[in-house]
Amino acid sequence: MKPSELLNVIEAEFGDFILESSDQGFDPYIVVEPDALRDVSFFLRDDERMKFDFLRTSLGTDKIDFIESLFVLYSYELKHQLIVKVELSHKNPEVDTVSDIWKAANWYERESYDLLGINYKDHPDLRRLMMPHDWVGHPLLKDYKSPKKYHGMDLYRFNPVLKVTKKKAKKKK
Amino acid sequence: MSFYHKAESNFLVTTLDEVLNYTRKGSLWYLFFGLACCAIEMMQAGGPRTDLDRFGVVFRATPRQADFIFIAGTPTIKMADRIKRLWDQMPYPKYAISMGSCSNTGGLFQKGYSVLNGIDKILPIDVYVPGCPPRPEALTEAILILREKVQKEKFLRKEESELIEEA
Ligand code: SF4
Repeated sequence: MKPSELLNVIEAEFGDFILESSDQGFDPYIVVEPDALRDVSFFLRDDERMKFDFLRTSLGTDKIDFIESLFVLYSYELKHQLIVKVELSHKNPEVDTVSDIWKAANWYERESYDLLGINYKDHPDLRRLMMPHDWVGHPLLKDYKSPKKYHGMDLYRFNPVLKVTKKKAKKKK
Repeated sequence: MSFYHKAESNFLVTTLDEVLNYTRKGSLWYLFFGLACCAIEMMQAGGPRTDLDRFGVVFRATPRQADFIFIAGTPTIKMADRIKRLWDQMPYPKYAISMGSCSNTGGLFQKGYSVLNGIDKILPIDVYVPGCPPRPEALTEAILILREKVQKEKFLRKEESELIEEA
């Protein structure tokens, strides 16, 4: 299906819950209201015209005003692609899991939880994936500051080159 | 050392330390510990071209049989605890070679949130090998340096407490 037709079908079905949609970019995308994510996902997977049977990847980004979580979907049968985005507030980044709809989402959601602190409700196993399990904070948030110490290891390293270049810069001024 | 010359009258004079060290440096076994891209170059070093076996340097899969450890690759904070545990399992006398910029200082991932800035925060390192990645020849050089260090050591005269303090 062509991107514009694809978006038309989705908008006809879920008009109120689609906050934004576009087919101008590289791939067509829709921005969905967080509460409607599961309904939209079931529709995208099961409907005859959609048949998105494959979750390519899922990412999260801190966009300062909001935290974005996106899912890249692909249909092997109909050969079309769609990006589904949700925008979450910094205070309460919470959204329903889609890991039971596409199994591949399981570890992606764990990654987003680890690095951005997005809480996927009803996820079967929401643990940290990259960082140690007792780590504090979520590293990809813009206001994140890394700790100085962890388990007695010093996480700071003095950089002699940086000091020399700073001195040189001062002298030039 | 008097070992290298042919003993004409069937005996030679040496010290126990030297004999011990001579045998020790001839069979340095290492714990094969690849963490990232540097590990590929370490495997190269084990291959026929820069044959490490000719120094008696053979890789082992368990820390309990190893004399030294190659840290080859990017040590992450999550891995650091495991590296420390492996290091603690190695018997004395033990050595460590840090291979590549990543394990020397954190390398190009130094500012990363998940990377330990240099393996020397958790282990005492004997030889640092610079490069990204170092060539197998550089690794051979590192092993030659380590052999020199082993040969010079007065291992028998050390107290056990001294050894533990060093490590
Ligand atoms: S020093 Fe270079 S080659 Fe070695 S692990 Fe780091 S990035 Fe890879």
